[in-house]
Amino acid sequence: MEGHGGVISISWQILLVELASFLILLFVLGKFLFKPITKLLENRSNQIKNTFETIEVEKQNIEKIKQDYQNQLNELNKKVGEIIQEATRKGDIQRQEIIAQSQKEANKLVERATAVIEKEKEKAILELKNQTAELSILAASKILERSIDESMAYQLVDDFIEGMNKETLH
Amino acid sequence: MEAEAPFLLQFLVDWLNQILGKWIPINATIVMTWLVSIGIIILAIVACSSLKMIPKGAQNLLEILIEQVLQLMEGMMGQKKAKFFLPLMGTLALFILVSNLIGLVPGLKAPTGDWNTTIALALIVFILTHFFGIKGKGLIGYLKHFVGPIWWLAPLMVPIHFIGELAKPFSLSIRLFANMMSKHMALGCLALLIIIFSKKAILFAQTLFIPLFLPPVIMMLGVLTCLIQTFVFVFLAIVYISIAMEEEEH
Repeated sequence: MEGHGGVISISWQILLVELASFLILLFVLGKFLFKPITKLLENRSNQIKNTFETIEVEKQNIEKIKQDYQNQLNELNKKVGEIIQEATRKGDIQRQEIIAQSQKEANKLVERATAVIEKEKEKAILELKNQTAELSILAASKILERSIDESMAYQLVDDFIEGMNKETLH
Repeated sequence: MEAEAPFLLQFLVDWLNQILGKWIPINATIVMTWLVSIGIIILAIVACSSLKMIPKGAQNLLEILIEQVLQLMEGMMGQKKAKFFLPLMGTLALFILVSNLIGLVPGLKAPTGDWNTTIALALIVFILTHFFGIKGKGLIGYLKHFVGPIWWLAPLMVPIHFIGELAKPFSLSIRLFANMMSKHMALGCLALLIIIFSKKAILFAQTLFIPLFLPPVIMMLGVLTCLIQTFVFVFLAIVYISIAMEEEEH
């Protein structure tokens, strides 16, 4: 089949062989290349779409969970605040109670002490009065060497103590 | 003045002629067509043997090409039709691209540099155009398109449309073939010049740079031409088919 015409030449046989070759190539590629590749491309675009959709859904879920946690946190904060307030209030009350109690006890103690002191004082005064009277009587009877009847002597002593009281106790 | 095929290719042609010569005419173009086809099929099988969601290597290469063709088609004929015609257009694109580029390899010949190949390709497009045109609109509806919108202009319009339709495969095949052949010729002439000039190197020392430095430039232009011609052929094939299938607009 050599030497048919020039560069621009048509040979029907060659044309037909070319045609057949191309059709065979078309058939083979259609089966082995385009079918799997188109399927792959489709799958891939589907997968990408699905992935994006999943991401969108997940995002919403996460947003919801976040919202939930935020709510829970807020609630907890509120509760904690309440507990602290309650505790503070109770503590205050207890403090008041304790203070009142102590105040009362202290007052009682003071009262008791005052009473004892008063009693002691009265006792001391009485004793002092008696002794002073005896001593005075003794001294006076010795100095004056005259008897004074007892009632007059007590009258004198009382006067004296009265005067002393006025001078010393006040 | 058919250019003699280079030695290795000629050897292959002779060998195949001995085996298949009785049934099939064998020449360099056919052998190259077969080589290209086998190469593409091997590439396809390699790429598809382990298809992965994340493409790599051969799969990536083919995916890029196929997706480009698919996008081009989807823009013109819609998604459904594009998917249907993808194998045809994809095969056309792959075959023409590899055929064009293989012509740049010294010692090999571009199958698309032979008018017979491009006619075969254009013929397929031509036949499919009209087949799907008739299928889409019905025979009468499709023939109406030849008559045109005004019935009494039919005697004028029918021949015009007829010639127009015939011119499509003609121009399609001539464009691709002429581009590839002229590139081949230019490279061949420059190669010849090297031989001629080197024999008289002393005389032509100053002009030797022409055959030495021009081929790379032509090669680079050649790669560009290969890509552009592939695109143009596939693009026009898509346009012809989509026009034939679409509703009448003119």
